[in-house]
Amino acid sequence: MSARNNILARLRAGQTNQTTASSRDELPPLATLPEAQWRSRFMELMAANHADIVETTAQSWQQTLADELNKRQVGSLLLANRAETGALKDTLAAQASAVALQVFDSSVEHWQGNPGSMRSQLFSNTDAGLSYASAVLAETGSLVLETGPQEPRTLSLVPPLSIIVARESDMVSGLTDYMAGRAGKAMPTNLLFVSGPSKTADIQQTLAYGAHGPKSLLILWINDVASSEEASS
Amino acid sequence: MSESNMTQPNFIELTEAVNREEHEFADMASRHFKVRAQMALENDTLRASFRGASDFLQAKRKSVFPDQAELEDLRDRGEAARQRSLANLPELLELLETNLTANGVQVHWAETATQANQIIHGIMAANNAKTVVKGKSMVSEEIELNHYLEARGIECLESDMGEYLVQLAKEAPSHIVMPVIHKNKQQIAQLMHTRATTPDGEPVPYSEDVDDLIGNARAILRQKFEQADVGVSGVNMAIAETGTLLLVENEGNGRMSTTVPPIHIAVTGIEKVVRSLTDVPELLTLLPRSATGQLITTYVNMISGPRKADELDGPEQVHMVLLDNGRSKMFNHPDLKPTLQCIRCGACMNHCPVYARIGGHAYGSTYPGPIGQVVTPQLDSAGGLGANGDMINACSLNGACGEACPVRIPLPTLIRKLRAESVAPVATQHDGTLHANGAGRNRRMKEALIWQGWSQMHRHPAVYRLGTRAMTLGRALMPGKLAPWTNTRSMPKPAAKTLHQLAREAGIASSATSTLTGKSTRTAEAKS
Amino acid sequence: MAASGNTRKQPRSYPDVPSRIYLMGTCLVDSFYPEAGMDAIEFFRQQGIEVIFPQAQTCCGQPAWNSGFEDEARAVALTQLAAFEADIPVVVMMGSCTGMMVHEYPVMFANTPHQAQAKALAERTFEFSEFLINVLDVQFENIGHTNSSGAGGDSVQDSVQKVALHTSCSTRRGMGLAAEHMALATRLPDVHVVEPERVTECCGFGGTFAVKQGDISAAMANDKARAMAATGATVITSADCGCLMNIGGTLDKLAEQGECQAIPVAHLASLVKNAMDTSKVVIGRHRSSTEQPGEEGAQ
Repeated sequence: MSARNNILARLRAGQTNQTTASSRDELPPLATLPEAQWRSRFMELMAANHADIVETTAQSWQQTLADELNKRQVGSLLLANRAETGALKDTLAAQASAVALQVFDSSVEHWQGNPGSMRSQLFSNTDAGLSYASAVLAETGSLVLETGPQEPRTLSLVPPLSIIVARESDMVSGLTDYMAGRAGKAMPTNLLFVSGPSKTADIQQTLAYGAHGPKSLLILWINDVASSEEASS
Repeated sequence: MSESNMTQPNFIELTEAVNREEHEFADMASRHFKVRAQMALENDTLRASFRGASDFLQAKRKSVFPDQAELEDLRDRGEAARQRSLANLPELLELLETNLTANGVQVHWAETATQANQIIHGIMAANNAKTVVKGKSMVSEEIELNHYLEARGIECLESDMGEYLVQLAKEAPSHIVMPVIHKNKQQIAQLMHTRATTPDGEPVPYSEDVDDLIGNARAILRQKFEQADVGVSGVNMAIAETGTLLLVENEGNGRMSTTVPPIHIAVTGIEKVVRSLTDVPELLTLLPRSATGQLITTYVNMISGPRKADELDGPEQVHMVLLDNGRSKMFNHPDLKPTLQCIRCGACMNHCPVYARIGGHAYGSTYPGPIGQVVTPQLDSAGGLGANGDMINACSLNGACGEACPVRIPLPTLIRKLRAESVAPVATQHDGTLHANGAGRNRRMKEALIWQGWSQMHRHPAVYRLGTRAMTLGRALMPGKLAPWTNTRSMPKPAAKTLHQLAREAGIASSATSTLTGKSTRTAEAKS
Repeated sequence: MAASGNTRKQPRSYPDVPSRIYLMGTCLVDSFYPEAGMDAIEFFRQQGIEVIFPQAQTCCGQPAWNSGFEDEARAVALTQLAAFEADIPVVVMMGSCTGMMVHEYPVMFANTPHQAQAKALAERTFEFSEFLINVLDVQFENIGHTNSSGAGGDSVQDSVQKVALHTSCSTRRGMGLAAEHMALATRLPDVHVVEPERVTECCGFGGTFAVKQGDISAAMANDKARAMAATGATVITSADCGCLMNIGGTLDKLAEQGECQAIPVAHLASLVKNAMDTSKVVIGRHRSSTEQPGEEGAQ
């Protein structure tokens, strides 16, 4: 405890020397993007960051997913253990029969009762993971993922293709509004903003995708806001 | 591996080239600042790498701040946010500790670099951990964690692409955001080919294609993530009210390091704390834009604890090591406190004309460039002003860094202040106020005498006029050479007459008081 | 030369056109570019502005201040406080010395008996181009030639000089006067302003930096000189003589080695003085004094 107390004591001594704290605490809030531009800004930024966006509806997104899996010849898909997973598995089994489905329903150390094999399964034998965004940030082009039993951390990280379902109705202007809205609510173990596939420009400022995380990001965009068609035009 | 192919580079020659670079780095690292700078200046490849990177990063940053007024407003906010946090630093640290602990994160405090290393090693020893995979962490570089752990038989692997390559080359990062900025892709191709092996144990095929290079490194590092006992990361912000560690990154290695191994150890400076989630947007808006010209990084990860009972993955233990290493002293210094506002974006080095010429290694410190010149002498582990005297003089005070800083750290002012500290006379050192480490250590008798003489001459106008007059009269006798100036420049020649003489001869009034009192003066003549 | 590090531009208040000003020559102009000072004096006098050149002025104190010798610098600065004592605007021939007096003097004399005096001096101290643009709003009406001035002119005639403008770091960033600098240069008749690559980058002078870190300084100066030469400029101008000495001196050396043409350097005040030969000078701002100028314009 002594290091702690020494550090805090030194900081307290320094605090008494300070004349005033910043006098500009009360700046007006950051300007936010007008709602009419949310959708187009998000689409624009995600496209610029090499994400693929496929528009669909609340009724047909599972079919859209099946089509995309077929089109991309995805061999295996990892699904979180959610309420709709059973129905989704049925749809995919019928519409994308070539895709091996796996449900993330036991801990990473005890993959289907087989200790130690899950990590290699996840790292070596899984082509895609399906995640669900809890919110969408327009200004930065970001999807919000909240990890938990239904959204394992590695699901959107390890498989080379990350598929994220996002609803237009979950869109907010950006960081400022989102953070203000979160205030006082419990935090998930990981609160993630995802703004594209993994990338790096560490070698001579040349951009390369798929550094450590997903090489591709596919967004299934559910058009569930009535005016979205007009707004986008 | 078709060695018969004539176009295929020769493995032995490439190995020699890579070894030569390693030796050049080691040689440079062993020299004094001025020699390092000279070596860097003479290395055309190195200079091209830094010039290219500086131009690129400056243009990228400019493209995301199209509106000057908006930029200035954001900088006001960034500065205010940092100052707000610092004004309440001890309270926020206690609040952070309380909330991290409530979230199941174990909090450790380290006054020194050695203590931080001991804490991290202690956690590993208690868990019988043998391998570490590291996300990017400048603080772990600051405390030389790899060195400490490797000496104790622990394997540390850097996983940020740039850091990984630097480690492979047995060098050090040359930039805090882009560690391998000093190498071009041909050099990296040679490095990967000669020193890296694929998961199958084969040499990585030679390729200068960046996608290939990244793909090969990815394959190697994925295996390491899967097997590591511990992940070590830095922290970009720690949020006190929620007990949250915020990390930004593009590659996904930060997420890997903090998610896949069973133990995650975060290490960060005590200045990184902010109060609440609503403090985040202002700083998060500035950090990636200023660093790499991105609106936001690919990933922003806010970690608020280890795996919960019902969760299926994530580390079982999360530790947070809070490091002082001189920061609380900076906090107490009346002029140098703004050092702690830094958010480690690297914009100052991207805009520094000195950094663009000599690169990061010449500074010989963990943090290079303008912020490095300010931070390094103040870190307890870096030898103070005595060991870093040349570094703080390697600045033309051109202000490009201060203009680029997203949180308005007055970097040139701080560099100037450190110079004053480094040559402070004995009386100043003992004036009862706090001084930086090694204050007065660079005060040399000869230089002090020169400035005292200069001051005497310039505080007495008659002496000054005599002196300048003598110089003009003796202009023919001026030496033609005066190193280092005339090594690359012509010798400036004093004019035949000084402006003081010319003005006097032209009858220009010397004093305003006489005209104010209405007396007849030479001003009248001058106006005729 | 050195920028102060004041990273936020403070709005300054400007007086009406005064009837009298102080001229701060600065030590570099005094010994190496005195003609620039005399050209400025000639310009002001022709506009009916009385110039007072205190013989007691020496140096702003910056070399010692930037080297960390604060006490030595303060003693010298005190001499300037005394030399420019009366409440009259001070026009300074160099941007870096202006920055010193405007931004550093109040810091230097904070909590000393001279605090108020330093602050008052700071408020009435102006860089040469700042004064010509923001206080005088000077314009040049061409009476000799028909060619319009400034960058972006459709055709550049023989009589037009290609001028490379170097705005020093202290003028640009320390004082925030890049726009005023450019305005003055482009308002000059028969001048075509050309811009070198990386125009905002430091030339490598930095006062004692050029001596203490000679190799780095030389590398920066070389790059700047070559960029200047690449513009094809016929003259290089600035309002900071340290930069001019550095860039011009490097170009001399490069020319000696046959790498490029030497290019003459001149303080902006000298270009202003030249402009008076072919133009009528118009002061756009209100004059504060009842005293009207006698004669105006060229001879």
